[in-house]
Amino acid sequence: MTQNPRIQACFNRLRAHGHKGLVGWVSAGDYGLDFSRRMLDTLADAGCDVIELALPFSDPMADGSIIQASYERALRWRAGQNTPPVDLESVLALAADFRQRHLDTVLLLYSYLNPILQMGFAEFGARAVAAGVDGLIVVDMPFEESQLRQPLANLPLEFVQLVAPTTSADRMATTLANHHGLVYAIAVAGVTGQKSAEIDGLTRYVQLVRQHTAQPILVGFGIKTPEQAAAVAQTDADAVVVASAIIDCYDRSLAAGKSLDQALADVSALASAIKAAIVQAATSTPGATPNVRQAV
Amino acid sequence: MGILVDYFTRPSSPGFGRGWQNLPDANGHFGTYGGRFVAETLMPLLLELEAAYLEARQQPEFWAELEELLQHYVGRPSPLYHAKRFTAELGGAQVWFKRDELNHTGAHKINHCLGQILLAKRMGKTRIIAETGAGQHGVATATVAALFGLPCTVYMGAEDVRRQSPNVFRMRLLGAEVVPVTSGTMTLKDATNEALRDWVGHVEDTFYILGSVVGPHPYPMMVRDFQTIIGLETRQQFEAATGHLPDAAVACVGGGSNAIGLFYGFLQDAAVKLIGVEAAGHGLERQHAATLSAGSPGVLHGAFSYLLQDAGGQIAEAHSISAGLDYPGVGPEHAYLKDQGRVSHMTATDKQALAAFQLCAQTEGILAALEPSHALAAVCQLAPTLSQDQHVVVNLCGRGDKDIFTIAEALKDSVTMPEIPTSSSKKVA
Repeated sequence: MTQNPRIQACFNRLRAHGHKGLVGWVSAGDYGLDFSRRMLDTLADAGCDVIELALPFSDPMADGSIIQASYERALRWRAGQNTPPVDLESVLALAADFRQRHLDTVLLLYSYLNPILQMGFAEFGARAVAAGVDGLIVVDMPFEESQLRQPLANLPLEFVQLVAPTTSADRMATTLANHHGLVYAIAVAGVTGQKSAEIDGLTRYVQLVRQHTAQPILVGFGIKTPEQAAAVAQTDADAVVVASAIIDCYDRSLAAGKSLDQALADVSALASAIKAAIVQAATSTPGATPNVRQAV
Repeated sequence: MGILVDYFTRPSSPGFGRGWQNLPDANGHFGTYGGRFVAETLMPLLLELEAAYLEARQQPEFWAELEELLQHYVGRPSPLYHAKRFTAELGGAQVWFKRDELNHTGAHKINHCLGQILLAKRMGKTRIIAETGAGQHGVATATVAALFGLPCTVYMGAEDVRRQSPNVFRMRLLGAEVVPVTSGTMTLKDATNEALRDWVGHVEDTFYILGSVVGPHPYPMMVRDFQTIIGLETRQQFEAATGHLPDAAVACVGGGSNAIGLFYGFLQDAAVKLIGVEAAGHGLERQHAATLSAGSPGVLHGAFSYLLQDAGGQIAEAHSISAGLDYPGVGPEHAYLKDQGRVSHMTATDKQALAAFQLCAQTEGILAALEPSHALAAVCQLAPTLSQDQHVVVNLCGRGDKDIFTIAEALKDSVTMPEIPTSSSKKVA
């Protein structure tokens, strides 16, 4: 895998300013593909440095109930006669459309393995790069099965390596030794959007991950509020992932009878508040000034 | 007794390792199938489980303890029975029933539940979880949890909770907590997702007793090993009764636990034809659960195998009248055995299974579960094409008491039921 220039630029910029990044989330096709298109713009405009664009899957065993419900809505969604099905095809089209308007925001495609496998890694890789996708998170493909993604080896599409609180130091050393892309540290032993990490334990855990990699570390799972995001920003993490809380925000707004515009405005307010909290926390933390690490 | 001790731990014994190509490999692959396609959070747990199992697997004491329970608690060996009136009705090959429906709890699931809970005990785990479809695996898990005094939570699709309420009640009587799952299709696959999530969230104390030869490595290997007792017994019993081996061995395949158990007794005997029978539901051109016969390779629940899916890789809904076969995936070793050509596959529709169920009930006085009724339906097609000096063994992997309400409802609706013999018009062989 070659390094992706947009990812490099993004994290070099953040590190140069002593900032931490915000990673937002879009469940593609939830409340329709057009709502997702507007959600991507909203999140980018609200200050997300990175966005995870998730391909809904029928059996999302690593995700919690909020993300699963969004997937089920997306897969059922048929607003108009001409609405395409929510599949890899339409999600890549969504990415390409976003890329025309936003050149700096890093776009990571989040997926379960099977839809990619059915398209084939070679074809998927070429099309994802053409659509302006920068990286790939496959939640159910551990290090041991990495031979399957060989066709991505020479593409500017970073495979994001996951580590978890259950990952031993030995295993971390093995999985991160030859990894030259982003690292996603799952904050809690559990699925997305449920319990939140206790901050002391999280700080030590992210320190452990940092010992094994100089690459940017994204920390996610269970981060819902500006306060929690600020706490995570004070660890060795480079960016904070907020996913279920975004879905929960617009879903509640819509359930309360608000319009799509109002729901997007609510998400924008949430993302902006979290971003502000992260920036303030990072810049007020002594250890996190333009310090530590060489650029990526 | 000693059949598993010999098979797994005594290289000098004639009963050692009647297996197949030493599969899976170190990463749990059967050829290209199998593997461990799970979130990183689960990986260390699977590695720990695998290490603990491989260690236990070499210990004669481990297998001896399991065999002791299988004999005195489950009632093994289950009989091998020559079904003469069923044979006479079909008018062809001799049909033999492996009577695994006589096991304690009424199905073969108890075999792998005991094996897994013994391993849980060795690993010091203090809480048991499981998924269940029809409820047979849930009941068997609740049973062994009660036997070992461990708290037990069983995830079951809300739709299955409705369809299989007697089994929900049985699990609760056994002290288990039954959690209805309302996501997705509210059936077995969703219950499996939920059990995996529970496991990810309770990594320290919890042991997941999985209900078939599916899921990530080491489950397909481990559950297979615990079910191998079916095939080893059948082989021994058949040889003792006839002096030779059967011409064919037939079993139903949903996830494939009872089938792999039966097949492992005969995999090295090329002359024994092995046949897996899948649920054709309303028909292969309509809704069905015939994953190997009409599906395609992909990844579900941690393994690469055949599955039912749409063009975009979303998992499709399965249908079978039998809740135990109503699953859009299948064990990876079955996928491998299919590609190798060692096992061939047939299908039976809901209606064919019902007809075979009735034939068995009325000629042999046995209410088979709807799952093995699919295997019986295949035997109904197969036996008449063979001669009377040929022999077919079919695994009756569960008893039908749990299905009587489903069957009553289906028979009422079914206007095209084949005629059922009311009295034997043919002489008993």
